[in-house]
Amino acid sequence: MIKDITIGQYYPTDSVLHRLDARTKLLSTLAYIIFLFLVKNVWGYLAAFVFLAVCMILSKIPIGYVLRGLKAVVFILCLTVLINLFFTPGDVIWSYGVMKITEQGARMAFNVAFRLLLLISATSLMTLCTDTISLTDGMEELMRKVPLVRRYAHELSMMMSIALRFIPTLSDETERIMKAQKSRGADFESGNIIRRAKALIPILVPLFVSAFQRASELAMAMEARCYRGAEGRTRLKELHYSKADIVAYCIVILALAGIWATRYIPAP
Amino acid sequence: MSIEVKGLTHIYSEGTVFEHIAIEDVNFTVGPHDFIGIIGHTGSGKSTMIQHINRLLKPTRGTVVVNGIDINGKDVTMRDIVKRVGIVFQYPEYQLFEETVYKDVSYGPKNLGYDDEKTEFLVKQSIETVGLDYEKVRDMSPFDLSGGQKRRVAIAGVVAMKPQILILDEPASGLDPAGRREIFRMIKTMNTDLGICILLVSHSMDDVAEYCDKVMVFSEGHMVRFGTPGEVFADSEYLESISLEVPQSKQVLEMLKKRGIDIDTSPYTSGMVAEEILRRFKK
Repeated sequence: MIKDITIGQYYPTDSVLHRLDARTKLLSTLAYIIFLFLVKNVWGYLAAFVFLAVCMILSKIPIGYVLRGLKAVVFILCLTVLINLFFTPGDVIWSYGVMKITEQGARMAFNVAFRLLLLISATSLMTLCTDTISLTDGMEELMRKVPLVRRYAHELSMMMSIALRFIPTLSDETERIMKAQKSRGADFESGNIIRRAKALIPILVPLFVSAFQRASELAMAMEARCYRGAEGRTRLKELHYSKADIVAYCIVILALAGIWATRYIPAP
Repeated sequence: MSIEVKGLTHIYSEGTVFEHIAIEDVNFTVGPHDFIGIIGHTGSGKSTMIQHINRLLKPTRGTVVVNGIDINGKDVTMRDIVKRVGIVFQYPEYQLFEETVYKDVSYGPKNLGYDDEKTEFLVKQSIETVGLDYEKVRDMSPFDLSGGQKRRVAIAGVVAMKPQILILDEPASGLDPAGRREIFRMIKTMNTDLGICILLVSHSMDDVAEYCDKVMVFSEGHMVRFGTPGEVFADSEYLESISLEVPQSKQVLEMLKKRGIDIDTSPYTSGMVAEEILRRFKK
């Protein structure tokens, strides 16, 4: 399942979105997410969807690849939708035995589903068209502008880039250990929840052991190359805004204004 | 316990853009007490192949029959298979997880549902098989052992399940020369004294030549050669063309031959090579 997570993965193409400054993409995505929560009706979701669809086309990334990232959250999505659908009190529009769907519930479920889908697609699109180094550099630059967080900006972004880097490594490792324990007769699929949880110990212990080992080796390797945090550290690729970024900001502001405007259109 | 593999093909992510043919149409039969070496360049399909023998991977096409039973048959449980086929993966010490050596080695037998008495017997026997002192190590934490000892404990964890077929993927990688030799001797003993069928994946042609009765050669997903070490290592040009080589001791003979010395290049173990050189130069 870990393999389905496309958040944090990079898909290189030569699109206009890829060339934008990471900060532009980060701030735009953040603003987009905030506006998703301000949407009041179906027109708003439609507008937000259109904007995202245009971005996806501009990114030149195969749509299937972006959607693959959604696979990992299908379960959570279905669960929240079902809970909202069946357990929101209000005017009953359909019932069968103890189950009932209310009008408010249906609306809520629809809202939640769209919000989550757009939110996840937007963030995975952002990471797909921003390579990890620019992404974390962008984060660092942005965090430097925030009081209190400023002091830890470099450390936080370094931790993030290391974490992202190690996702595939750890997922490979997990698979390897699982196969080894399966060959020793481990059974992860049957039994009640407690048995299954217990069956995970032979995977988690070796996984933690090797993760700590890797962490300590990595720390050693970094120190051996004189890493000492942000102090006096320069960059090979400095971030700088270009004209395209200014244009992008303008477009995003217009799009967000459009999404905001849909609040005043009566819902169907 | 024999293995019959027919038309074995494995395709990863078939039907998607990530489709990748790992192995294609592999056929072979291995006898009950054979010691088989498996060689091949990285990515040649060796690892994919061995994982089919205890159903960690299911074939896209083809069958794997162990001791007359098709292991991908519906009624065959994973437990039935792991009882007969043991796999020791590369760097097996990374699978250790228990507080004591005894508990770790008993993990396999316990999963097979054996009672305490039988488990204790198997644990003791397997720890001794891998050449460790049972009384001394049984209550130690596996994490306090040395690298070579950890490796042995991990191998004991698989041996304790009494498999009749034991597959080892690079069991000696990362060990010093003495450690390597001990591991290989231990495997050879399991083959000769206990009659366990061994499949050994290795990158060391010298080790394969020294210990194996037969050698399988993999290249780009196909099994391209299967024969005695003498047969397989006879064709050094072919092996070089698929990024392999003949054992180093044999290379010495070939170099001598190139210099115009009349010498037999067919010996392939270091002992046989030494004898041939002595025979030639004593004259």
